[in-house]
Amino acid sequence: MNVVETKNLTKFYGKECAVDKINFSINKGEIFGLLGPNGAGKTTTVSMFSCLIKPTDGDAIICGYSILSKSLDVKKRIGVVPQDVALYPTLTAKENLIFWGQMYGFYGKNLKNRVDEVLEIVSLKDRQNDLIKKYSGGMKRRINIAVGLLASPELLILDEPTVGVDPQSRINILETLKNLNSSGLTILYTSHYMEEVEFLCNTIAIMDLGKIIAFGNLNELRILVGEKDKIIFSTINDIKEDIKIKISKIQEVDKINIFEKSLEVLTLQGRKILPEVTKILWDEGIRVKSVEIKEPDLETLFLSLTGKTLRE
Amino acid sequence: MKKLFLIGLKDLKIRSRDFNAFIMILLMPLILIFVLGLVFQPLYSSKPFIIDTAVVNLDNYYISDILINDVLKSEELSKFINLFFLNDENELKDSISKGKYAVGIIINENFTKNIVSGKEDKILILADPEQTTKSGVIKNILDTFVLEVLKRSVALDITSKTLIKENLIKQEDLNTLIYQWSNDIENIKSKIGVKLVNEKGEETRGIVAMDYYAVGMGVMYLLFAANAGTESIFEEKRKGTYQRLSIMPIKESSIFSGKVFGIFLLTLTQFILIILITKFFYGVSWGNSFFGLIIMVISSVLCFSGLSILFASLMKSESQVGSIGSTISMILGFVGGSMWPIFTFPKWLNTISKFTPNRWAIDGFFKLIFESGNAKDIIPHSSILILMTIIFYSIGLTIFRLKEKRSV
Repeated sequence: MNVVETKNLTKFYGKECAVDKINFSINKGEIFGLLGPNGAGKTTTVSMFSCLIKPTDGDAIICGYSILSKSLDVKKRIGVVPQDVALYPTLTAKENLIFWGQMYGFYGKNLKNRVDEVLEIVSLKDRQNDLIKKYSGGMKRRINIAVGLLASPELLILDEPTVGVDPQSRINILETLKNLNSSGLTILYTSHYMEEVEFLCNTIAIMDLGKIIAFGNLNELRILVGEKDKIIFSTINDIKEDIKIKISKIQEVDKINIFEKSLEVLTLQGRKILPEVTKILWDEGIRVKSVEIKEPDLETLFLSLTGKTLRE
Repeated sequence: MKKLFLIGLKDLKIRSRDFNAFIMILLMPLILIFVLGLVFQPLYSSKPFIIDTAVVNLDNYYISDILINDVLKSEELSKFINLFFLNDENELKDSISKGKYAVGIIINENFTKNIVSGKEDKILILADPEQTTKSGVIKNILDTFVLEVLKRSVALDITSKTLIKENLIKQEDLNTLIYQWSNDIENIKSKIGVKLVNEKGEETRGIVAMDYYAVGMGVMYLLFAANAGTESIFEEKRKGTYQRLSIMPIKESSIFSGKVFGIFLLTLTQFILIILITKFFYGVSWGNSFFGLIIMVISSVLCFSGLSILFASLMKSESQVGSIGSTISMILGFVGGSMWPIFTFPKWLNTISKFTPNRWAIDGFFKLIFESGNAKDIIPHSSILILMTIIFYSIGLTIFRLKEKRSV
């Protein structure tokens, strides 16, 4: 059964197309990753799923209801964790959760029980009476997630929930989401951190410039990239663009990406061409600080599909 | 509907924990009321200042006794004249030169006899050169007294001579009759007085500066409080909590109405606190009509909440609401009579002020406070405020909706 199904979902801001006729579905019980760089259209997509903004064209069916005609029914069935920490800093965590719970329609004992449950899930029950402004960034993020869980949603949408979070809190958040998913919750997770998506998601859609450019599980996507290796050279001095021509003359080289003091080469035979590329760099007077050969990953896939990195 | 009230209550709770908001919307008006009330009291009352007056009475006979006991110590004058009695002219001069007293009065020996017998005599007034206004006030009082004594003396002399000549009274009865006439005059005087009344003939309080500024500042700061409330709309949008509310199962209209209810609650709470604090700590009278006061408070709070919604609909950020809103609040406060008494306004400014909600709110409260008005008397004021409320809300909400449509 599909929890989400989009039909040519499109959003224009003026003449600028933010989301361009996207079509995909999310099965019940899976963690679906929407991966893409900043400005790819991820937040616009989840904003349409959350009924915060209306699509210019197309529709999406969430938990059996159209976001166009049955937005209130959709809102009752989803939990949304926005990119910003959308909490009231001068209220305590408990006061925040009580207020947001009331907005979901919980009152009295039901509300109290639900607040206690979500505080347990995010492991912040002992800090429930502290003001949010006294929380660390990671703790705020966890309460932000707790609000999304208040309504016991069928679908939990998280829009880059780990931005600005320390590594320990990030692991805590990802583990919490894994646990929630193992109890049957469907999750839509957007991020530009490919490691998070690789760790968490069963199905992944890669977005760029408002379009879904790749879709499938991790293995399917790896096949898409063609098992290419990525050689990363870190250099002491700056690399000039004209070196691209010389390196591209090597037959096995697929794609070259030049940064100020690093060079990425995409190839099917990383170890074979490594000495040749190193020699060219040496001849050009570029001193290499370190070399790394990376096996195919989503980052590599994104690079091969778009010619740019996820963090650009 | 329940969610609407919960949003409003949440906003009130957040503002109650905001120290800056507390200073801006509660502490500031209370300080201003206190300071302006004290400083400008002389402008409003018949008690401009206290005049410390030293008297050397060398006469100690009946006319000087009347001057001191019946005039200078009278109920009215004793409110602003503090009398001190000295025995020696030199001591008086020395005290005046040291600034101990503002005015000195010297009544010469045989002053009464000289006046009665028509001889020349003068009461001397010594003035502290730095307090000439005060000596001027005392001189006017003494001039009036002396003139009155002379008029009565002349009238008595003519009347008694005529009556004796016409054999209507006897010379030996004259002293008894003068005593009777004096008593008759005192009886009539006790029935004649000065009373400040309203147009219905009811006694009123007169204008007291503390009361004036409690109303003036209270009304002006309603808009500051309402602006603090509308700032929270922008603040919530900036921090993403408004968007989070929008993805909850609540109608968009309920969210906005909840925010407006929050503004109303904040403004109402602020005004009630100002009324209570000024009443119990500053001794401000808020009139005798509790029902009238409730009507004025609610209609004023509604009107200023509506005005702040109108402002907010025209602004783009909370900082704009803060800065431009404060400026407009000050201008409306000035034009509407919150800062300066309306009765000092030139005609053109008086006309302009009638287009501000401040003016109608202030006039309504003054009706209750200074003219002992009741709920019926403030119907025109509250009606105009409600009419303005409807206009402000209608325009503000329309602009907000248009903006929302454009952004979605």
